[in-house]
Amino acid sequence: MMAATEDEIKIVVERLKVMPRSVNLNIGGFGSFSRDELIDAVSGKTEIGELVVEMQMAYLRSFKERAKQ
Amino acid sequence: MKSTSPIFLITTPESDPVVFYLSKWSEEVIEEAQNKGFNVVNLPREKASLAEFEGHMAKMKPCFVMLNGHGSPSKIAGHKNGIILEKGRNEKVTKGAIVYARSCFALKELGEACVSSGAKGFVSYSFPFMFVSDPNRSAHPMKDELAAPCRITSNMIPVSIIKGQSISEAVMKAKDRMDELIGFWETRRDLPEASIVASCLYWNKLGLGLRGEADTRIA
Repeated sequence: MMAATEDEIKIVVERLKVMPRSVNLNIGGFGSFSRDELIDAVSGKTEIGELVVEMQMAYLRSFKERAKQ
Repeated sequence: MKSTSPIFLITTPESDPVVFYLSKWSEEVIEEAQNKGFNVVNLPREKASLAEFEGHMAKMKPCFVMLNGHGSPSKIAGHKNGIILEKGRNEKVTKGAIVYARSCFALKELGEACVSSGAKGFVSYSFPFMFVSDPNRSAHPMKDELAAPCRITSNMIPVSIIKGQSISEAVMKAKDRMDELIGFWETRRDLPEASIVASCLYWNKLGLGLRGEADTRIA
């Protein structure tokens, strides 16, 4: 897993801020995380945070590719 | 009289909220298997243990096995994270079976070990399996609209296999449906979390794959 850049962290935190506080993201054996827990993990560059950045950036890149088509 | 029905073995642990969801989602798969004439062997909660799993695999010799549980590259857990299938320990129990593991990371190392030991096919995920959920629906996973796209697409795989499709057809069909649902959820404007739901579908699609012969199917 590549370390997230500061720009990627900012982008993902902004995306997560849109999530309602009442919704969870479930990440397999890592557990269930609220919006605020995810933002803390991404900002703190924890293992979960890095994984969430990788997942969100993969999706955003695919979105960009699909938008071009 | 000895039954000639094909045997479908499934584990349904419930020891934390994530596996509780996966196991409740499995009710649809169990119903489909029963409708198609399978003899369903369900190992629920505490029965999703190493001893029960190995014992039933040896005795019943299922043609299709579905595991719901946390995974790592080399192992899959049952109830309370007790390991039930592990590379280098007991992958031989899958000999002759098609395995679908709704588990994180299990595809590559464990999947390849099972196929090398005689499993007919292994379908699983290379990355952590993710889904969005609504905690207000946590007691009723089947009524959770936010979790539904990942339920539908991850249940399609075992249902397709039960219906006689090959493991590659099952994976392709699920990925096609994921694409449709990604398109739907990323354009929803009524739910602020819709784009996160779409990103989970995309991530699960990236991780989904198979090991073994692509045209393997239940005989």
